[in-house]
Amino acid sequence: MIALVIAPASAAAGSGGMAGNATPTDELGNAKSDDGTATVQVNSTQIVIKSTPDRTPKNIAILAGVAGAGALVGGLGLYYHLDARDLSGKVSTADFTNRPWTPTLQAAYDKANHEATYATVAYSIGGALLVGAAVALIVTAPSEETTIIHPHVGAAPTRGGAAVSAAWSF
Amino acid sequence: MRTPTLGLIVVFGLGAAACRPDVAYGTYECGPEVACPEGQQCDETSDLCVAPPNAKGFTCPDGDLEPDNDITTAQPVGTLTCVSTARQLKSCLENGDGLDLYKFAVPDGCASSAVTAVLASSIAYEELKVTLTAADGTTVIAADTECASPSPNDARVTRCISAPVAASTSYVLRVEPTGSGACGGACAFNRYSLTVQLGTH
Repeated sequence: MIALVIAPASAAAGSGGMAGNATPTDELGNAKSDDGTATVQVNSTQIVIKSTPDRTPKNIAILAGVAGAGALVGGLGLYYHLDARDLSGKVSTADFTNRPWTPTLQAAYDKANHEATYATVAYSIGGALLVGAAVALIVTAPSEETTIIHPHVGAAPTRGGAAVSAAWSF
Repeated sequence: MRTPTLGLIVVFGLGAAACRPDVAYGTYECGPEVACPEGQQCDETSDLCVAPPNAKGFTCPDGDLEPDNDITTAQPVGTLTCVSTARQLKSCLENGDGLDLYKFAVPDGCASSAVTAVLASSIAYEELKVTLTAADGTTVIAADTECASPSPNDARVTRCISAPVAASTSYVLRVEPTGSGACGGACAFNRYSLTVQLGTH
C-alpha cells in the first residue's frame, strides 16, 4: 500500500499554509510518502510520482520460509558441530594418555566423525538456503514505478472577475 | 551479500572439520584385540598405537622359558618361606604355546598357609588365566577370579587366586590362554607377569 501526499516542494518545505504539517521531504525538497515508498516531484509542467510497490505476501512468505529453513538447518549444523567438538575433546590428544584404546573411545571417535560430517552437510545446506534467500530477495525486489501527471490550467474572464480551472491527466 | 554468506559457509565448514577427533601417534595403548584409532596400528612390542610403518610384531623380551608344558619341565617359582615376599615371574605365551607351568612347594611346618597368585597381562592380546592345581598339574584346586583390587593400569588385566595350601606339599600354577580376545588367531599371544606369595589365611 502506498500513501501519497501530493504537494509542491515549496509547500512541503513548510511555507505558508502548510507550515506546521509534518509532510516529509527528501534531501531535494521533494515530498515523500509517510512510509518512504514514494516521492513526488513537482515542476511547472508536470508532477512526477515515483513509487515502489510492496512485496506480495506470497513473496514475503517464500523468502521468509527459505531463510527460516536455512537458519533451522544451520542451527542443526551448529548442534552437531558442538556435539562433535565435545566428543572429539574426549578422545583427541597429543600427549601420552596411559590409557588403552577401548570400544567406548572408538564409539566416541566414530560418533564425533559422523557428527562432524552431519555438521558440514547441514552448514552447506543451511548456507545454500540463506544465499538463495538473499539472492531471491534481490532478484524479486519490486521495481520502481513512475507516474507523470500533466496539469492543465485555464483562465477565463467572467463578469466581474475571472475563472481559473485546473485539470491533471496521467 | 553473497560473498560474506559464502565466507560464513566456508568458515563453518572448516569449523566443523576442525571438530573431528585428532589422536597423535603413541598416545594410546593398544586396546582389546590390538584395537587402535583409525590410521594407527598396534605396535606389539611396546603395546602402543603408532603409525603403521612403525608397528612391530610381537616379541617376548623377558624370554619364554620353554619347555614348560608338562609337570617334569614346569618352571620353579623358587624357594618360598611360610610368609614369603612376593615373587614375580615374567614370561609370555607365544602364538601356538598353549600352556606355561610353574611349580612351588610349601615348606614344612607352615600352619594355616595360603597362596596368593596374581596374573597380569595386556588387554591387547589373547586373554590368559591362571589355575592352581595339585602337583600332578591337572587336579584343579582353585581357579582365578577377578582381583579385589583391579589393575591401576587400564591396559592391563589382572586375575587372582587366593587359596589355602598345606605344608610340605607341592603345587602347580597353570598359565594358559582362555581362547577369547585372540583376533581370530592373529593375536593369540600375550606377555604376562605372575606374582606368587605365601602367607596365612
